[in-house]
Amino acid sequence: MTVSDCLDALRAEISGCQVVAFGDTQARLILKASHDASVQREVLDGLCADAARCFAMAQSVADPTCGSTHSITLTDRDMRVYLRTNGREDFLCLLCPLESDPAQVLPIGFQALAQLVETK
Amino acid sequence: MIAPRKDITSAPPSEVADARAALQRLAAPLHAPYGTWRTFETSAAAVRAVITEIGEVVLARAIEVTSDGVHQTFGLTISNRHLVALSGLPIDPETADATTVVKHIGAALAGAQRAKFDIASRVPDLPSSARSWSCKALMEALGTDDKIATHAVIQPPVFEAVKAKAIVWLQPTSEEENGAGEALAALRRVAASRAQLAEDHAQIRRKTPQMSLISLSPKLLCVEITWANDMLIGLCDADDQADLIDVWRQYVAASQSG
Repeated sequence: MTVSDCLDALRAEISGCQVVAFGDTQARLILKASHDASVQREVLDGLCADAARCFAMAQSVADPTCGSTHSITLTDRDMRVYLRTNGREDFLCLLCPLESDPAQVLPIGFQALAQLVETK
Repeated sequence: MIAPRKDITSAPPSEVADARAALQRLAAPLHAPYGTWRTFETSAAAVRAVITEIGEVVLARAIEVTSDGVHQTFGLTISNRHLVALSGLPIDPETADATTVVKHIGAALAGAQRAKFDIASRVPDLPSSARSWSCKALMEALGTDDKIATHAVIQPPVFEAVKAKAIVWLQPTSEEENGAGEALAALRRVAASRAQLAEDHAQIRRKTPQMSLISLSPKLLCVEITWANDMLIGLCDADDQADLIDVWRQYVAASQSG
């Protein structure tokens, strides 16, 4: 399964999910993303910057032994979920509807991230 | 030089002030007032523009205010430089005074950077109630404090709900904090790294309200709420994540139904 296939499959699995993206916080780049044509590059850049901000905020106090970490950012219209494992620079980002259930999104997101990291 | 006539009494100061304000309005460059997006430096500037609009309208008119803030749209019915009715905001017209009205308009425009006014009707239904709020009273309620938006109406339910759940919290904008020991020290480190990030990446500064829940360990969560120019950071039990998300959704639903 390619990275694109994995991202597409994850997006299809989460109802209303607009974007699933795989990025790198250090490079501040989205490396690969699954989304429809209406999503502009600026949206992906914004998600990448927000993910980098969340992970950087946690860095000074986060438990270094913690294997996987996540951040959830809620706005008035959506939920952005950022996932990473073992303090790595690469991360997975999901742009979901505000009513999405993190208890459903987080496990399948981490599962997909594990596959992506292996693929990489 | 002709000496002023002593048998004519001078106008009272309030009339002089009104005349001066009218002359200043007349001299000011004409905005394209209706149907055009206008950009504001702060939410308070947008509130001031709404009140100025009320002061400009003499013949009865219903105005729709659309913004990119919390409440996308709300309505004003104006007559004779008085606000006589509001729609789309949770205001009880029987009890609300000018300060309450200004606070609700401020809350509705919190985070707004752009707004536009449109004429909804030139023959609006005017309420039978004698209650109205003059432009002057609203402007006085707004005062000169540009921090009016974001305070007192909608912000506290979200901020207060998070404060109630937080083990420690701090609000850098008001320099308030609650908690002690290692937890507070850790939170200060988070706030410091956030401030550094904001300096390094100006684009991170946001005006739109949002809440971030950042996992620090399986048991601990950092909560960050940004609201216009205000911010709250706290540490919460990770088990509170679902409750905090519910609080946010309720706040959004209340804001949008307002």
